[in-house]
Amino acid sequence: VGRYTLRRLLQFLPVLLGTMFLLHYLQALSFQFSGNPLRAMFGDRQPPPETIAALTRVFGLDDPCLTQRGNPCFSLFFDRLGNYAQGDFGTDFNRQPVVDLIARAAPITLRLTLLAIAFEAIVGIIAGVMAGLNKDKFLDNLVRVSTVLLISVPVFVLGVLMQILTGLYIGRWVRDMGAPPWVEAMFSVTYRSDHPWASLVVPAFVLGGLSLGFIARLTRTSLIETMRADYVRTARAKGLSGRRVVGVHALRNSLIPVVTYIGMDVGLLMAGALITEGIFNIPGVGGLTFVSVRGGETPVIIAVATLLTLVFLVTSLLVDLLYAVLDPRIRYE
Amino acid sequence: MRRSKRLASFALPVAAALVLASCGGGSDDGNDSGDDTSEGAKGGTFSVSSSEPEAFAPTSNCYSSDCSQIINMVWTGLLRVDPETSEQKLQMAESIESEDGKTWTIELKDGFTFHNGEPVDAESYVRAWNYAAYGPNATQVGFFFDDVQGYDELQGEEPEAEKMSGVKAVDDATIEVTLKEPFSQFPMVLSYLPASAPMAEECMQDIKACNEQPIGNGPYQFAETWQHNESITLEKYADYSDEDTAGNADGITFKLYADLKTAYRDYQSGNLDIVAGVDPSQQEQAKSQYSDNVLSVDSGSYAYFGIPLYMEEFQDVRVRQALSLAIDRETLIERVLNDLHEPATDLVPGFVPGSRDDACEYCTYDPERAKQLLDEAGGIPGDEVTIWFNNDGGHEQWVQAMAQGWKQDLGLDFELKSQPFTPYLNTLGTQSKVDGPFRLGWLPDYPSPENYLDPIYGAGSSNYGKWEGPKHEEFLEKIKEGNAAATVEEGVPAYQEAADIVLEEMVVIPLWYGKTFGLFSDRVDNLSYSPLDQYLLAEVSVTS
Repeated sequence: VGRYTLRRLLQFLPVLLGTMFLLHYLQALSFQFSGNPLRAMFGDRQPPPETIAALTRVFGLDDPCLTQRGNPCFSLFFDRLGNYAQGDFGTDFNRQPVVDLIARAAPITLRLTLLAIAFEAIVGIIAGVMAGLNKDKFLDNLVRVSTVLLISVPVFVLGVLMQILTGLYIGRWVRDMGAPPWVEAMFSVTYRSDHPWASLVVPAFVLGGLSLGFIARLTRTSLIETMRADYVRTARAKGLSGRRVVGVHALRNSLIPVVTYIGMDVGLLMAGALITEGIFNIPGVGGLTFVSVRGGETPVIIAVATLLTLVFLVTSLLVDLLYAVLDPRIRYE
Repeated sequence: MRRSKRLASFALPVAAALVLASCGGGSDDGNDSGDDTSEGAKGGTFSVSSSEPEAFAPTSNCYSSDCSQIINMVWTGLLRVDPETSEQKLQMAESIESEDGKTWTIELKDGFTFHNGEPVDAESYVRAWNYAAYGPNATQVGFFFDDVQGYDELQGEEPEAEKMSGVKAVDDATIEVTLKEPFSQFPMVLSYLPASAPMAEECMQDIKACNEQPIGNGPYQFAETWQHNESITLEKYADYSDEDTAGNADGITFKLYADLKTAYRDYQSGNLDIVAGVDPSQQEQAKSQYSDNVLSVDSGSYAYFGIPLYMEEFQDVRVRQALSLAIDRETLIERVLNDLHEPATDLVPGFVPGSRDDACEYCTYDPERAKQLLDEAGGIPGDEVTIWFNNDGGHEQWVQAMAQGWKQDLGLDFELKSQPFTPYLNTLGTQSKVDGPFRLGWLPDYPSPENYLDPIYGAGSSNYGKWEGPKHEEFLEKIKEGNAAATVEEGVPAYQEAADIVLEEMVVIPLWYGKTFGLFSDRVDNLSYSPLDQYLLAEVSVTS
């Protein structure tokens, strides 16, 4: 397992460098074709040329290659890599260090992701198992119908509905009742930094809702299939209790696709809780990405995207390693 | 969307005429000023919505509404301009005088301190202004000082000097400013607070720390460091020595929203007292639900369509007049724009001295005359216009509706071309690429007709349509005449004549003046708005 992990870790390097270069090139092209993004700081007005020139210098955008369309600006890219090696990740256009921006946003998104994953995994797997064991009975139909509903409602609709329901209606009622502050925070319209977990519960539900539907259905299908497998029949014939057959033998095996899905989801949720974060005013990574892309703030875009690539790579490695735990037949050399 | 950014002006060099030059002793210490903030209940705290601000230290890195709104609370300037009377009100300054308009002497009032206890002395201003003007610091509004002697020596990658030769602290309470050329309205430059605010020595030592917890000299101070993307909490500065500009409430919390729509829902749930700008998609609902709590006043903004005068098909004035006559402004505002604008009747909104309500002959809706004028002019080749706008400001709907009007009344097909703001400005800048009317807007810095005329149609920056020729010369002459007058009022006739030239020539198609849409809760009282200082939060009082 050690050698396998090492080999995978080594593969990270070209992937990361490739991502960074691709982003760098896209940003350079965007500068070359749509013009200096610093210009937008001044609105409809044209600032004096010396002001734009000074700003352009300060933000390191004064390289002549940025005026030549299609030029990949290798020198800028290597400068950036050099700065990264020294721990200098640059600043955004408000001159806030990118490291600070990420350090502020990432823990919030991480909390949100953890809550959402916990929620979708626990509820999703339980619902899936119950449906799978009661195939075509009432419980199964209930799970199937409700998950289809959950999957088909777009996130922004679910988000706004939940916000109005929990934040406005229940929230008002809770406040009038004089509930403890953490309950109040749970039913607040927006994220509250004084209750960093409680106020993320509803957003996590919204965020995890879609995946919950997928996970329940995946678990259900996979479990039904496994229950038909020979080894399960053998286990039953040996006289094992139904609980043990399902819990130890069948479920473990049928969770492989589910674990894959959850692993991918960690990466996705870290990157793209954009809509949910927007609705509940959560200052996380999604918002940071959105704002920096809109403003053309290259240092932020590259740093955030690189970080997210890393998250994807690490989670997919962890998922692969988990396979071996779940299915003893899988071995890594 | 965050396009509510204040588009502050830098075109101050030809600023509005003022009483100031002759302000003599200028020692009105404010006690007799009419709109002071001492009325209303004291105490309490309230919350206001905002977007994440840009910067507080140096203040000269602030060029938008979010940061300047807060800077206006945390700093007090030398003077401000009353939006209603256009009069100057001295604040930190005891007097601002000049014999010849070239050398200015600013006397400071005694007894003001920064929030850390440092005195607000002449050096604190000189320090801030030199920092702002110094090229390598790349501040956003440093160019406000480009009329000052020695400014040029501070520009470039390796400037010759670090300090402007024209700015001197004569003693603790006296600043002397020497300009390159006489300029009787220089104090106007100083009324833009982010550019002219003083800087404490401690702030200069560690600008980064100061940006997180600013050290100002105003009625409110930061109660804690800037909670990025979450909140900024201000508390009253106990040692503030000016009764008139002191605030009513004990504290103000700015809640920072990434999306304005969330602010409105927070308001609905009772967690927010003032929504400084409701998202257009929620205005309809807000109006019907909270009609008594809406603040809708002139925002000072002015929207228009520029015309590429360098293109042959738009060179006939009748074509331009026809296009303007075929816009049903009132219906558009009512149906598409939530009633939050007022049809333009002049180039200058109503709150500015000299604004008229019948100056624009071709701003009414008259489809028959429009068609007739267009026919006389021989129409537009191909019977098609290309309409340009930026697609990140919520303009699509009304532009489309307007274009439909042209199609219906003038038989013109249209093609809409839109880009995000940055490339849009870039495209406008390269001119010739833009081959049809283009949307633009304007926000003023001070209430003078000049501020709505020269920067847009003059030799200034936003003359994207390339208006030139004898009429243009005449226009520039009239502006100069207005600027030379001693006061705004005396300059008005000349400014009006200048506006008439633009309106007769239809250099642009004036559309409408904007209005604010603010909401306030029943907990607060006395919310007002000035097109120059934005929401006047120091005057707000908490009622319960």
